Amino acid sequence: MKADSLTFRLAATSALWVAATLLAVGLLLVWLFRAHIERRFDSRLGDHMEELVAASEISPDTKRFRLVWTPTDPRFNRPYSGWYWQISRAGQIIARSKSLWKASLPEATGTGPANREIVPLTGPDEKKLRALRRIITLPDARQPFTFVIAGPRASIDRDVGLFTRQIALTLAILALALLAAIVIQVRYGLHPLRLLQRRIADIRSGRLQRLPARVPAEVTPVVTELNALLDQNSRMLEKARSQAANLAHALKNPLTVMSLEAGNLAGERGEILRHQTDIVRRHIERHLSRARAAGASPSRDLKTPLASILDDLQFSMQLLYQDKKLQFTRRGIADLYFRGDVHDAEEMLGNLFDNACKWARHRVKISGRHEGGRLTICFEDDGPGIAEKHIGDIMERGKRLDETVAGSGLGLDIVRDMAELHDGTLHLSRSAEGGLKAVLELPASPPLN
Amino acid sequence: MRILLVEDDYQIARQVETALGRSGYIVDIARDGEEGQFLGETEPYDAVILDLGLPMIDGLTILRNWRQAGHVMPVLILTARTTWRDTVTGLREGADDYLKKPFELEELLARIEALIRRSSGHANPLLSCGTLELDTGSSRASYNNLPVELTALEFRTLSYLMHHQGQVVSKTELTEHIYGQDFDRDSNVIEVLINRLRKKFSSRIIKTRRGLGYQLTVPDDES
Repeated sequence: MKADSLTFRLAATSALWVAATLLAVGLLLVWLFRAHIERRFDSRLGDHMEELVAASEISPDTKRFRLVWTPTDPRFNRPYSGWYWQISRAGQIIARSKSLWKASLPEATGTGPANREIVPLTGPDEKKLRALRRIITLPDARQPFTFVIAGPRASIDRDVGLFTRQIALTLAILALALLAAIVIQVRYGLHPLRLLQRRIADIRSGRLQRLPARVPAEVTPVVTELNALLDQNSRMLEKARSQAANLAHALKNPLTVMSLEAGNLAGERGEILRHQTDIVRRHIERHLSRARAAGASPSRDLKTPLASILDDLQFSMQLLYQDKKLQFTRRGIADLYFRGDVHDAEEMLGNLFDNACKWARHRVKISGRHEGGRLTICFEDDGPGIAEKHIGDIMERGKRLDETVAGSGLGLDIVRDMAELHDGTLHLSRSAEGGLKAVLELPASPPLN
Repeated sequence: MRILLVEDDYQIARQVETALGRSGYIVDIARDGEEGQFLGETEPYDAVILDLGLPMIDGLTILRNWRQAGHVMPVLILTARTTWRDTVTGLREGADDYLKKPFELEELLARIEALIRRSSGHANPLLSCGTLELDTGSSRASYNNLPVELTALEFRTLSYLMHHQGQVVSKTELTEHIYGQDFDRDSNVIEVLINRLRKKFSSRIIKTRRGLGYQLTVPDDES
């Protein structure tokens, strides 16, 4: 999960809320539990207080304070057990539990009603105590007595601590479960977006032309807009292509006139003019073919059979070069399918075929192969070929057209450009036949079954 | 040799006409598809140079119409449509050659010469009749291995007869192929031309078939 992803944003904010809520719930539960435990503790103190008060009286005989019995809980008899009682009057201790031994409980002041209040105290061994203090005036007594029953806070804290750990563990497990649920929910919720991303990738790779319309309502406007954008893009591309073609056609007649006039000019001036018009012609051809091919998206569904294209081209070459009486041989072409546009295939094969025929003396050999999703098609002629150093010139990227060697303005650079637009390559070398060997490698579609 | 040039661009038409004229061809120009189709259907041309993007009727339609009507004259398509699809379509429709604009005049001339030569059944650009030789590529003639100077009209006449060796060529046919369409066909200038050619070569090389026309044959003593 990436930090800047929607999944992370949604999951993180949800997790934050869940954590805050669970923490608040945990604190509330601990607080409620502590209150409950304290109430139970206080009620126990109250019971002991009742017992102590019930045992206290002013002796009718001596008119002095006495305890008829002492509280029965053995913890009041065990020294420093944490459970203490003490009865005092006007700051003077009258009776105390054995557990206090010789110590006494401090005079504490509380916040509750003066005659009955819960107060925090510090015990004889510095232990925190929780005490119930009552001020009672016994019958026949002149002054009120202060009764204090104290118990150890530690027992409350231990219970609350145990409860806190348990509740923390429970809530942590709950938090993890909720977090997992949040991630699942967010992923499920965002699934249509991931699907949309895959469909857009399909459009880019040519498997789809448009986005499917069946998407969740929230995504529909995006899909509609994207489809409209694709349509507009396609229209603009078509328009740009047609304008490029129109421009090229419009330029060709004036260019023809200029080139023919140049033919009438003798000497260097005519030569310069002819050369320059030839450069213009090649630029036009090259950029026109690029404009045609550049917008063509590679479609996996495209399956252009090369055999029928070669049939057409061979028919044309036989007519165009009929004085040469060339012999054509073809091998391994039948099952070759190019994964791309038929016009681009025609242009690439046409230029290579034409080049081979132009230079061949007697023979043109065409061979093909399909291997691992790629096809190679090879044109060989028995002509003079091109010197190795010039082959490098033709293939050198960015070489200016007017610098290329004579005989290279045969569309080989166009073929190379188009092949690269289709993720293909063109390799030139010397053929065993003696002439040029041009090997075109392109993405293939699997043969028909 | 008479050629029909169907081309709507005035400058190109003029330049091609001049170049073809210099090489001894008679050129009729049609500026639109309708005129081009009509001329092709009604006049006996030795070859046609046909542009594709034409006003009125498209070049490919004209070609299809001609071929369907049985007109078999060689047609060279001269066009700015340069894709291989266009080329294949043009040739499949019945064109004999396809030249893309811009082009070199030398190439156009060579192709026209080859088209005419092939259509009359000659594989070699050097036509010969006994010791009389005519190089259609360089437009030069020789007799007994000696070069012979010919005027444009004489060259056209000899060239037509050489392309149709052994065949009887009527005076009308000869007139149609060596003069433009506006020529007065009753003129007896053909007879004058034939006589001039006979003087430059041999009187026996061009036979007169009375009432039929002329026939170029190898003289008996040379065969």
